Amino acid sequence: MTVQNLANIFGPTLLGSESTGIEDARAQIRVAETIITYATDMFEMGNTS
Amino acid sequence: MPTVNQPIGDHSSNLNPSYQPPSYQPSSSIQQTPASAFIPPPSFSAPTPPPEKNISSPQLAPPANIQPIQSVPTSGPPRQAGYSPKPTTPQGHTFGFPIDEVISRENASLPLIVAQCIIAVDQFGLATEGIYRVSGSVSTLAKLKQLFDFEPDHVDFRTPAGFFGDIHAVAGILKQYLRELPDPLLTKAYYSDFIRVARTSPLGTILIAAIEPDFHRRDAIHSLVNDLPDANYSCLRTLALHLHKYIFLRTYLTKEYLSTPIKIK
Repeated sequence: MTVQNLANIFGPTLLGSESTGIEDARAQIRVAETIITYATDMFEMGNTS
Repeated sequence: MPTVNQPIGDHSSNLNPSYQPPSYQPSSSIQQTPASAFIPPPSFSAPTPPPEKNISSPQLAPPANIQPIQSVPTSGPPRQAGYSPKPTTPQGHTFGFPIDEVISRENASLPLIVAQCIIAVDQFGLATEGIYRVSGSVSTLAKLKQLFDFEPDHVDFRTPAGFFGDIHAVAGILKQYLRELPDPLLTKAYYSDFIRVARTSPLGTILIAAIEPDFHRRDAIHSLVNDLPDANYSCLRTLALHLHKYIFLRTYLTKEYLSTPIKIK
């Protein structure tokens, strides 16, 4: 199980799976991959808001 | 002494009516706890019995006895665009409601289902290969959905008995909940922004990407995430940190890494 695997699963789950082309699907996966990979940067470090 | 000759298996099988038959669990190591440590499952007998469904009484019966339930969720395929904007009209407490509505009703920072599922996967699923990829049994998924929709007060995932020993179903029900949100967690409003940012590779960022790969995209997505509504943000935060931890553990605590000294960057 890698980030890629999880991103494949959670991309459409987080963004919605209706009427998406291949390009959109790839982008969705990349969004999920980025959020998972950098979760600690985004949500823990110096994020006081 | 007539009892000496009695086969042991004869009386042990009907000793305890609440005993969960091991055959029901798909080879789960979770159920290996000794009988003395077994904590009786919270009672799922419905105070408000759901209409036309018959899954509460034989809850520990083998799956073969469970009738196919009508509202078995649309788990696998993406939902079809039908005449209705929502796949189903929400009937219970949880599924199909806007996330902020659930949060304000439950007076919590996270929907109960998100909190409970993540706690359970954190505790029982992080060592499980293929968690979130393997789908749990359909009947357990239906039972869990029923639980969150109609008996949220009875949810207790602190012991495996609370989720019928099927950790994959817990992961599955969380995914299903997120898929059935009327508005996705990252919201329709920001959808095109997320997609655009993820696709972007203009010439200007190539240089940056060569030096610091992904950082441009990371920062762009980060700023979009910060703009999400509070309910979505806190939910995404919990989920993302949870998944990040899982990947970290899978990556660094596998045998190959344990056999060599871990390099600290």
